[in-house]
Amino acid sequence: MNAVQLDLTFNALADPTRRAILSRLARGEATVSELAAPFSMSQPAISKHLKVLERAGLIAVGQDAQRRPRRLVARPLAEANDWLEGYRRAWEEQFQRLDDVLAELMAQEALDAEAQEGAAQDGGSNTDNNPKQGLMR
Amino acid sequence: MTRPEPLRLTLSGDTDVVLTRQFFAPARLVYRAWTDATLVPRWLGKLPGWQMVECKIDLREGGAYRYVWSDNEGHSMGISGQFIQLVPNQRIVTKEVFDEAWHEGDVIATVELTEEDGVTTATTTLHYDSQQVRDDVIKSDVAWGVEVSYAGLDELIEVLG
Repeated sequence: MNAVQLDLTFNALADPTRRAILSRLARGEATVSELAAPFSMSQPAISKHLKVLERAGLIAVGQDAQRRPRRLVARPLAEANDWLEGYRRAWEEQFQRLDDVLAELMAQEALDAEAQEGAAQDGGSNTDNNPKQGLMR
Repeated sequence: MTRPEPLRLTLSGDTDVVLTRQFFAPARLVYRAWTDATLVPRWLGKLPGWQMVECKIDLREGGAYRYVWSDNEGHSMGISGQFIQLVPNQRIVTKEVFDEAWHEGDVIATVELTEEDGVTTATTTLHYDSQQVRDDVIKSDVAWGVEVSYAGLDELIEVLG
């Protein structure tokens, strides 16, 4: 994976407005004024964000020469996602080892509880040597 | 045995990573596995081929802990940390730093445990000093050679939304 592209992608994603723009474009292409509509921002301000996204290769200008709609380019986002997935998996692997440790602790507790129950039952059957049982009779 | 739902990872704000994972065990056992020096070395550590060779835990607020891992070729890596807050079976807050200061500042890790019907959800929040540090940490973790797979664009959009 290209580290420069990854930095570009994540720098572009660092801003909440740009993330919102990408979310909007994930649902279909949109013009600059359509993209600006949900934000209390001027069109030039939105255009600045679009330039950052464009430079990072996350969006492109669509076919219509007049409306110049922007569309999402999925590949860099998918690559960034792969990168996050690798990180997630590193954690998942150690948590799976923790699953095994926990399963063992629970099995041990169940064994201990059984042993205790067994000991209690043994004590109960041996009534002659049990002063409490003697008193209850 | 069936495996729990896979870990869920989200980037929260610019500086935090949040990891959410369920465990089929009561919270008191999860807490124990997270804080007992005989159990921690059996699972903690993300690098394949590395073993924890030192694990010292002084389990009290203000108490210190020390973890050292090494690989077969004699490389080693350590973490020194301190317990900031301990609520038995519920909450662990730590501040830790790697021996090799390859990123600035400490990491503050908060583990929250909630138990329902014998299943414990552990929510781990890792707080870094800056976005740069957080992203560098994630990048280096990936560079540790963990296999990468494709997980879908929708999830990313959701994660970043």
